[in-house]
Amino acid sequence: MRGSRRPDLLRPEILPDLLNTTAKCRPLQPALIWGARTIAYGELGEAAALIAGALGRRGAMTGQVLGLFLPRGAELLLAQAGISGSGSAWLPFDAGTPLERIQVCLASAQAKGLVTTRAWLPRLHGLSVPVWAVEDLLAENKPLGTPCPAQPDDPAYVIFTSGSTGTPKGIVISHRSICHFLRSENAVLGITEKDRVYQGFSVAFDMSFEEIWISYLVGATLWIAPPALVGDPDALAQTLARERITVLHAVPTLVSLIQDPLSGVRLINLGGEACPDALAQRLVRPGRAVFNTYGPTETSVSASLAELKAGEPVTIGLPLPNYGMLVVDENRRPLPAGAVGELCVFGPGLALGYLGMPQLTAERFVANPLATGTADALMYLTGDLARIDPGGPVHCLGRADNQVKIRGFRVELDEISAVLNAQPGVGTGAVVVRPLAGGDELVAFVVAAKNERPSGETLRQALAARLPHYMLPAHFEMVAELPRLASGKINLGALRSLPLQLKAAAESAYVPQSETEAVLFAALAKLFPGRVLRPAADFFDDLGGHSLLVARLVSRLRQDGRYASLSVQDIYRERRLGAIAGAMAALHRQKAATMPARAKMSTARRSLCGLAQAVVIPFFVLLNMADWLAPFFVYHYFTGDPGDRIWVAVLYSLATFVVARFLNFGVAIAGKWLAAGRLRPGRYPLWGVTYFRWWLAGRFFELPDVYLLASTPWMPLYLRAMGARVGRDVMIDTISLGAPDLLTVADGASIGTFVNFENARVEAGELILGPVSIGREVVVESYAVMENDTAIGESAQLRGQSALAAGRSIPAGEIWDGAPARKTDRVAEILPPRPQIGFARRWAQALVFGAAAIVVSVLFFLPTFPAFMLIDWVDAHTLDIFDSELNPAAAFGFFFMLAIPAAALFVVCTALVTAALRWLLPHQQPGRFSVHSFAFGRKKFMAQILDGSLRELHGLYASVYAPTWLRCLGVKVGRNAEVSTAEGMVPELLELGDDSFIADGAMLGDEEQRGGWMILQPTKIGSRSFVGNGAYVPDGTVVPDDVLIGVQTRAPENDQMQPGQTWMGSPPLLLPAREQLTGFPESLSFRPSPLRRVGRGLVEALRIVLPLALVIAAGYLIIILVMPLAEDYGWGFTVANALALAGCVYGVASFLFVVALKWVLVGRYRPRAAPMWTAFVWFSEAVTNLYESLAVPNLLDHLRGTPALPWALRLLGVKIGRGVYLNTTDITEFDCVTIGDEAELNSLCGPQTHLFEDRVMKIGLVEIGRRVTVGPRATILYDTQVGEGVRLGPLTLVAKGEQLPAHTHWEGAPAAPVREAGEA
Amino acid sequence: MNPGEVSIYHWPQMPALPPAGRSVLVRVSTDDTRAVARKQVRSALGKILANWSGLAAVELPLLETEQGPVWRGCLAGASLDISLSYAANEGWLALCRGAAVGVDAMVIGVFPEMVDVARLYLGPAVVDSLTQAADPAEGFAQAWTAREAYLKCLKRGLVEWSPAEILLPVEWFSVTLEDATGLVVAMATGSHICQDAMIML
Repeated sequence: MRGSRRPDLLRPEILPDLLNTTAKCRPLQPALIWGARTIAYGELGEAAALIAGALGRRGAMTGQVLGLFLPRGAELLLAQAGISGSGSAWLPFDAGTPLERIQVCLASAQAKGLVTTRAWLPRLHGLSVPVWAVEDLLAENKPLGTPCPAQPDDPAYVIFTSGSTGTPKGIVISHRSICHFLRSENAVLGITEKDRVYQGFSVAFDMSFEEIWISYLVGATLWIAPPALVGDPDALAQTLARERITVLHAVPTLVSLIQDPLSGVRLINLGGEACPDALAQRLVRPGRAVFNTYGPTETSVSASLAELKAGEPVTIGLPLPNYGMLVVDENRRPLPAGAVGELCVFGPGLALGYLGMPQLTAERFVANPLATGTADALMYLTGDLARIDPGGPVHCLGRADNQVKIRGFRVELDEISAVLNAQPGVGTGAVVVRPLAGGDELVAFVVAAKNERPSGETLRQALAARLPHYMLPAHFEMVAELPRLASGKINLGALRSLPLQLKAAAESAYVPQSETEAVLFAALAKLFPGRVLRPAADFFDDLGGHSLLVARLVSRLRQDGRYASLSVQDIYRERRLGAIAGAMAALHRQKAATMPARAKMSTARRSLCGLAQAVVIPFFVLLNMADWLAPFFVYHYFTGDPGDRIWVAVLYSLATFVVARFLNFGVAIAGKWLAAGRLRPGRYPLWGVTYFRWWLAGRFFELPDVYLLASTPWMPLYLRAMGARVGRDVMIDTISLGAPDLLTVADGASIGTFVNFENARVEAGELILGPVSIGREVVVESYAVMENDTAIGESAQLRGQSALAAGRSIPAGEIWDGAPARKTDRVAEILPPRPQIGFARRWAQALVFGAAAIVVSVLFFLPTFPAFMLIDWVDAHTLDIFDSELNPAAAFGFFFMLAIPAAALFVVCTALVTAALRWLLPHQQPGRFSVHSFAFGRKKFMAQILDGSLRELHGLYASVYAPTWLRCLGVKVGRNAEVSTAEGMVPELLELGDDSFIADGAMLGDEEQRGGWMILQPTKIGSRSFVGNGAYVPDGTVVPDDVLIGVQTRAPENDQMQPGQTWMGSPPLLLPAREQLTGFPESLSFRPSPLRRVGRGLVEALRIVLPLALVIAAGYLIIILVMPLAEDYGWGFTVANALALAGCVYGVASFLFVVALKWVLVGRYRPRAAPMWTAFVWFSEAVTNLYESLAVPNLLDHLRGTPALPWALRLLGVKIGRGVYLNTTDITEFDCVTIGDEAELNSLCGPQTHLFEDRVMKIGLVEIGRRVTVGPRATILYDTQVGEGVRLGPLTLVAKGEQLPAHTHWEGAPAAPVREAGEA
Repeated sequence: MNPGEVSIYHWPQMPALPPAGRSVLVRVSTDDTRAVARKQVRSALGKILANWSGLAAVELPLLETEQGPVWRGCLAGASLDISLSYAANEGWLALCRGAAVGVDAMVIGVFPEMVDVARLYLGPAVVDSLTQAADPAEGFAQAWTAREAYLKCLKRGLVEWSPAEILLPVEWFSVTLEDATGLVVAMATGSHICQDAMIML
């Protein structure tokens, strides 16, 4: 089989011609990038000429060979080009080549010198050839007087491979062959001057030609990888993206370890080993070409090439242009298509032969039976078995000769035996491959010379000086004689089964020389008890390690936070214990360099900040109270006297309510700018002045009911007023926002429900403020989290329940998903162009939304009046408290008793009014709607009602009354369904199956919104299915029966789910089994008795009305107490002070009431399991509910971010250390939580100390260690221990039973260790 | 694949040539030294392949590679993949025509870092199942052998579990032997994996 005929590629040229042509044509084009240094082609050409000149003056000339031995870097490539320019051929050595082998190869090639670097001159002392430093050659600054004297048929380079004679064999390639190869392969690959090419191969490996010299040929830019990067898949992926690499040549093994989709790489060329089909399928994608190349060194790098296609098996393709391939039998006769035989290659790429080995050359380069002339007279016998299909492609089937492969390296056993036999003390030696310690290994058998006793260790060291590490025998077996065949030859078969006397390498114990060694050896001692461990020992060869033992070792070592990013690849790469310890030490150093230094905690600063916060908190309490107390006052001001008219009082009261509510927006804006000003990005001391300003700005930002503006044109206006930069046609639903000044949202962006822009957070004793940038037409779906210093490029998308941690960005047009967010292959459905409306309609819509917000506000206040009327009527006809001298406590008690039925009346009225409204509106239909349509407005109106109900009727949720309430709103709720505080519901498009369970904070049926369109689809939760706390179920999801969607989990796609499954995480993972809690009868979990239903109903009815009753009673009491002050001193400072004081007293009293109730009803929380239909669960849920609806809004919410919050939580039973920063109140089973000194819990995060599983509440402990930082919206499930100094990223889910080692960094759902930037 | 679809042959019971895409699993009682065990398994392998191909043992196109024995060429019109594993005086030999196969065997046993190893290499789903399993050691052995069999099927070395890992579709077989060996054996068969891709060049 022949490749295409391309005479134009056959040119009489040499390598320097290619480089010089590009240097002349594109002198300014960047040729090499090495660290911060960029070398243009002109500069490269000049440097090569200088080196060539210096070498020429030292006698270098055509036909000679010069060694090339430098560390990875630009100088290496300059020296390579310089040698070529001098007319000599270069002989490259890998940086790790032993001196002995260098000497052998130089001697074999009759090299005239060696080019190295100054730093390596001392180690090369003793070589028999002159050694020159490239720096000295360049310093002469004098180019070669005449052009390169080499001719096309002169040798261009020599590469040595393992040889069977004991001496490595040098393969000589001519300029003509390699130049043709470069043109021939690139005729298929199509690399251009616009490409940025990754240079990762050693120059001793001929695939480096594809990187280096094809780039020189076309003028592409080479990005030279630093040594630490080569072989590190994680870092490599990041680097490829950062450096905008477009072309990657690599061995499949390396690429297979990269999880990143390598989206910026347009061409991947695989070679050097077989390419797994699965890898090809993963890499192939539109816009990227993936090639698989094949070729021995003897055929100039590659001889054939296949472009890999999706769904097609991997082959080695077709011969390159002008190349040919055939398959022959043992008599070298061509075989027909489809037959298996030895693969032969012919064409212009063939090597000149083996250096100084004419016999071997004649054996391997033989007459081509298909020759058409002198150009293809010879063919090379590859030693590989192959089959050629009719018309191609070629299938390579493995090796046919006696070479062996050890850990991927081609090795001639005879070469090792020859070196072994040359050692002093060795009489006869032979090397075979045989199983050892679970794998095939090289084993040397040695008969000692007379009166000699060489030790295995001595021989190992002697061989290590001459052979690469992969050619070193794993074991040296001393024998009296070698078994021989009748012919007298060594019986290798018998050697393979000869029993071995395996011993430890040394008898004496080794004392670790460093702490890292001590840690390593301690771990190894557990895995290999009784074995002597020495740094020189090989984990696999000497200790018998295998994959499970590697896994166990790495797992043990990662328990130590210093080595948390150690991987199995580190062990496989380093092998020897000393080298493994070295790698561990390097990891530790890099980790120490990347860990944020912790700012020193100042008690005085903390106290001062706390004092300042204590001064301003009453102001916010007053504003908070004014919302409901002002209309309360007004109503009672206009009632009670003869002639007062109720409807007038109601009207004035409602007006006051609306004014007070919307005045808060003005107060918030003015307050933010007056008190806090504009905040700048940076790191500031916790509890310092900037921290206080940020905290104060946050209090102002959260003051008004921002949810009323969700998805309306008013939201961008409010955000702009608070300092954010928001473009046109931006749609923003409910968000949390750390620092509005640092938010930029470009035109047309869509931000979903409960998106958290956490661009202000506390870490390591500092407040970190950084920008969040959202590009044009970007979509950020609901429940997504973005930290500081993040950006999303134009038209990109961050999917629901995804987290973009600090410092990360999403390139334009990409869709990212998961926690942590990663690029996906998803393609967004194309929508029609954004609907446009005129100015007038835009404003009319804004006014309608404003009116709707007022209606929703009023909706939840209107039912207050029947409650007032009831109390006033009862009061007037009984005790007449207003006009009596009853003491405040008695008055409060009286009003509280009256308020209980009044509150019940309030709840019923609210439900009825809401239901009436919902039935008056047209039914919501699925489909695609413009954001300017009535359907959109209707959907948002209902969403506001739901949001309002979550705030005002919080107690209804997670109760037996919740299904009824949701049915009123239009949700189809099955029998015995349990629904807690679910968000994002589109009621008429939501169906909850029988016995389904929706836990706290689940996002259910949230709609898609982008590009000016809203897409609504029905959502269904199957019978007995469970949606966990904070889970995300986008609309259109159909959850089958009996499926569990875990805590903080994104529901999978519909076609992924089957009944009975359990899913966890984002992106979701299918769990094999779910915990079955047995021992509880169905009567306590799913099928309670009527008596238990009544019991629970009563407890929950009380928990619903109690908070409302308290508010009403407190309101009446405050009126009685403050009204006389108003009459005496007017409506001025005195009344304001009194109301602030009253508010604070009310807040503290509410909190103390919850504290008392908790200790009386539940006592101390302890780990336990309790079925849902038992009193413990009802009381526990009641306490939680009252905590969330009374204690949090009235007091604890104001204390977030202050030193006072830990004190308050201690009263509830939380064990909290000193100096803790808490910006969250999300704690439920208080006694089960321990928080260590100086820990930092950022917003919306929290320990989840209970879960409901199959209607059983299971409670466990959460221990958060000292100086732990918990990121925004991170959740720590029960039965976990988070070690000292651990950092948890945003939206991280620490799963049940986890124990996170100290000083480690975790992120993701479920949590996974983070490999810090810079860690090798 | 269902357990019923895979027959375990106890050597010297001779398995029949399987249809393309199907695997056979052969259990070989071996000596306790690994070297001898490997020889015994290879002996059994040679006899099976000789029986299937009709060739003499010396004519078998078997090549010893770093990954174990490789069958060069076709057998009854399809490629043949071979995978071996050893544990507790048992050698396990999986053979599959026209598809890739991986087999792994392991003695069920408890070791202290089991959950940590599972978390790192098997993923949270397995950790979750282990914490709930009646017999975590057996659960671990099942998951570990499945992982190793899968990786062997793909001719890959051990790698840490990653949420971004793309699991390729393979057919599974796993069995815990109800005898004194306390062994778990798992086999993965990937009919999509090209034979060319499995042999190192």
